[in-house]
Amino acid sequence: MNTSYFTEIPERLLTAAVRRMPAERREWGAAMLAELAQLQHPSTRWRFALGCTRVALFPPRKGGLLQTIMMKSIVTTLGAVALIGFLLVQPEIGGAWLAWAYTIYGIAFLAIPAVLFADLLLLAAVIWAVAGHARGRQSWPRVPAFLRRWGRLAVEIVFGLLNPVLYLTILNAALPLRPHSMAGTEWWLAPLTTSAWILLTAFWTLRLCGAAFDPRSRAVRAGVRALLVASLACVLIYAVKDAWLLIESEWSKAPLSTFLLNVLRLCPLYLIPAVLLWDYLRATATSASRAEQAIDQPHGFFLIANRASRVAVASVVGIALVTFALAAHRRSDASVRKLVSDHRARIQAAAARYDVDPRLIASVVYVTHRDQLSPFRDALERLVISAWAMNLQRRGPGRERWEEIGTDENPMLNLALDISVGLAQIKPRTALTASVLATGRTPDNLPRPAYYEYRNVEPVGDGWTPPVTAQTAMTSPIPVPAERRAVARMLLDAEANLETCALILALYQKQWEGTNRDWSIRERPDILATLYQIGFARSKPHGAPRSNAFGSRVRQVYEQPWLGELLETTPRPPG
Amino acid sequence: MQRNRLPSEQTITVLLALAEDATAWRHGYDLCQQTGLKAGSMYPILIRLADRGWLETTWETEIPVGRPPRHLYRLTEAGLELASELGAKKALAAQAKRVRLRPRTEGA
Repeated sequence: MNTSYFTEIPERLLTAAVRRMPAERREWGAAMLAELAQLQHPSTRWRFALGCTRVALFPPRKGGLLQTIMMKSIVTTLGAVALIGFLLVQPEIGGAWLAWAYTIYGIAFLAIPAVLFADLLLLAAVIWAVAGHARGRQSWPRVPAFLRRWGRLAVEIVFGLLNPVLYLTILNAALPLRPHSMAGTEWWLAPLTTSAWILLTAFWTLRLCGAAFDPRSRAVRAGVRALLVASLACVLIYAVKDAWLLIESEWSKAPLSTFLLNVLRLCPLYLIPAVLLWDYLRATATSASRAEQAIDQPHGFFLIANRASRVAVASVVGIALVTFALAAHRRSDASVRKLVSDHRARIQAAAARYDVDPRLIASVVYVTHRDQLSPFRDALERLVISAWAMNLQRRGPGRERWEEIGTDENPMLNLALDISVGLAQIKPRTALTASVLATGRTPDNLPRPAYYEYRNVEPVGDGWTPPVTAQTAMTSPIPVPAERRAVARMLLDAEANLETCALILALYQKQWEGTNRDWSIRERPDILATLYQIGFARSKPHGAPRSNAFGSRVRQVYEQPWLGELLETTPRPPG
Repeated sequence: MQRNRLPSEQTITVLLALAEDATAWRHGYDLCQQTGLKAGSMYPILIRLADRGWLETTWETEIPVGRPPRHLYRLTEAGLELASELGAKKALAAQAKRVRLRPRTEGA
């Protein structure tokens, strides 16, 4: 490239940016151009021009910082509301975006770097930077400050600074780190997972809104340090747990060198957050003024300035209140009765098709919609199920190879997005499992590629083969095989959803009737409802079953006279 | 929770650099070199200082041939007062830090 032309580009760039400056700031643009004209050295000109271009494109506004913050906050909030509204109105599009975002995060930022050992280089870079901070020097003085700042923030976001983001949404589903083989010992998993999510939420909320409180206060500093210590402990607990599970998993059966390579690949996923957390802990352990700098600088622990934080606090509180209000809002008794009444014919048809009690189906629908669901959740589940139905692998390259090695079509999406949907709240996997059980076709005897859609059906155990499948094959409302999109579409359809509900209840009836001759499970709607909620795998016929809270509530509704009048049947006598 | 916050560390650096020779007019790039700040940080600070009445600006009158006039800056009286106040605070903090050489044993 011509040298003179090369040196002219910075000036052209800045001139173009200055032209876009508001009139009241254009004098400052002229000032920057005049300073640039003084500079001769190409690299100096470039650095100066790039910095000034940023200022020219985003100049400080007149009227004060608070006004700017308010304006940005209003624009951001309106944008977020518009986006959320669009996603809820167009859940299929929103679901596709969610699936892509999830997969890009999981595959591009975590899985591929881990497989290629690139995250080891990143770990080395993070350690180098943090060691530099500890010695009071800048590790990359030649890298522009804003690049260092944004680079670090990007790493912190990708790695979550706390393991749950990685673990709960990616590793948990992708790696053999689930305690499958330790039945009965998972009691600690739920509190650990809940604590991790709470910590994660608190951590990022504090980072966004913490500057609203006085960073010079001892209480604020103590709070920040307590949260950092808890976060570090959380990362370490997850590391220990996963190391233990890895040793227990099939990976440990591989040759030692392969096992060690796998461990090496996974290490940065835990060490990067740990090192970054330690850096913040170290910075806040010094004097109060240095700690204040460490947490209250624009590139410190608190991400935004104090006045912006107050606006952010107000926004977060507002959004949280609205979300809680929407999520907590339950349909009234009258509206749920009307819902049941509107679907009366479908309920009766589904019950007749599978020989189950229509009152039981109606009771299940009533209880889920009256006690558990909100209209907000209803909209949200359409979004999530659309993400589940998105079959990324089918659209990507190398599909055949992925299928050959048994990789999931929707990498890492199955478990996380497999939520209950529709009128009778059925999970896609449960629906697929019910179809497989009803038709007597196991995933292994399905033709390819249909096999892959069913690979993740619920493992139900020996209790289901026979008598259910071999002796009493039934037709399923969801055909076998079916593609994910079809499954999602049918579960969102009221008629197919109710028929699937009836099929599931019928399967339990057949399983229990085949084993217990002394009494009929048809007379125990509470037990059938309990089984409906706990799933096929945990249904083991025996003589003295007990209902759970859901089952008891269904029984309570089942016995109400209005239901009998609506469906023109009388309740069965209690067993 | 209303409180008067100190200007940022970078703003204080610029104020103190301008206060070193309060009567002299300074150029933007010279200030960048003196303070070590990049242009992308320096100009927003200068703009805000000027908005708040702490910085006086003017244009060069004696212009060499072949280049545009440069923008010049110096502190106003209010800016100078603020810089003196901040400079004194900074000196006190540095002194306190020198005196407190024992290791910190208190908690968070």
